[in-house]
Amino acid sequence: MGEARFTALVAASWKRYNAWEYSRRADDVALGAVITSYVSAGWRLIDLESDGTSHMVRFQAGQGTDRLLVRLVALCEDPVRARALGRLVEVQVAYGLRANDFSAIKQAIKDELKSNMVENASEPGVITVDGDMSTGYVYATVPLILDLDDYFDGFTVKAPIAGDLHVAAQSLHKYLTGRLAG
Amino acid sequence: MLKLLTDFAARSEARESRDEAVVGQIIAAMGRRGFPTIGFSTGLAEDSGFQAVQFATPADPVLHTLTVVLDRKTGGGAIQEKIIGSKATLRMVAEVKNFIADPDDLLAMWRTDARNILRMPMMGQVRLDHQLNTVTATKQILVELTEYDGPEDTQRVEQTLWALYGELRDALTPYKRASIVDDPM
Repeated sequence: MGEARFTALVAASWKRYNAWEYSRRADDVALGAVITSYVSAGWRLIDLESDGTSHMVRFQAGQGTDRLLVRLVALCEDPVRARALGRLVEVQVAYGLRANDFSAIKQAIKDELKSNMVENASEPGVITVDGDMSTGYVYATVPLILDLDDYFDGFTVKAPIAGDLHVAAQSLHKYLTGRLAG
Repeated sequence: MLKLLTDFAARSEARESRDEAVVGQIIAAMGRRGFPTIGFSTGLAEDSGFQAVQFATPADPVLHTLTVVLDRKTGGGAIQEKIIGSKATLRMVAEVKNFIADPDDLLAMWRTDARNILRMPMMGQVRLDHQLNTVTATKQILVELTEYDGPEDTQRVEQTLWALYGELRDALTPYKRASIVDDPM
């Protein structure tokens, strides 16, 4: 009788613990799904940084020089917050084009400095442009807030999150091409 | 001038990011097999060649998780890569977790745990490690990153991963016990 009760207590504890574990790992599941989609589509992973909560991946197009950067920060690892708000993640999508001249990169850096002084530059949907002098790239970046429950049911994919990131990247590409054209 | 500089930077970046490209291939191969990522560790700033990725194994009734660790040892610079290549150790750790509560089973597990505590991992061999309700099997091999980093290397990546996975899984199967809850991973 005592051992049966002990077993029931341990089993119930495991279930609660596992719910917590899943909540803590939902952002890692999403990051892996993004990498799997892009690498399987021919993009090359060229950068990966993670401290467990904040993740950054950078890809380069397999047949070109375009780059895609995805920064993903878990906002609701606590299961109580996740139940109240959803499994929210802040996602920054950046599309990078290799610039043909210094002036385009310089102008992009100037624009970025200006946008840093604007209060709403980090709000969802606001596109900012920045330049990377060392690699010769200009990036357009947009922040989004996504609910991972829209894309995953446990470990099962309901809808590919990379599909929505691709849509964002396409819009950024269009915007950036227009900006670089002047 | 800008093109010359950025071409040089691009070549250098491609060489430096060879280990990330291999990690990308590993994650994609695991994802296609139905093993999602559940943890990332990219090491300290001064050890940028270390990358560990943990996977859940929901399609496997024996294993709880798999961890793949890629630790780059050489090939960060052009001359070094030319002379000795881009070498890295690839370590896979397979984990069985037994969700048990019977005191007799727990005692048996503790005895095995104590017996194995001084075993050390060796290159090319499987090491078993018991830690209370967890048993892990580890194997480490040396790989040449240039043979694994391109889209044309997908098959080689998968062959290497599934060979390691099969060997570790076989070593762990005898240690899997009937659990009192479903394995969440």
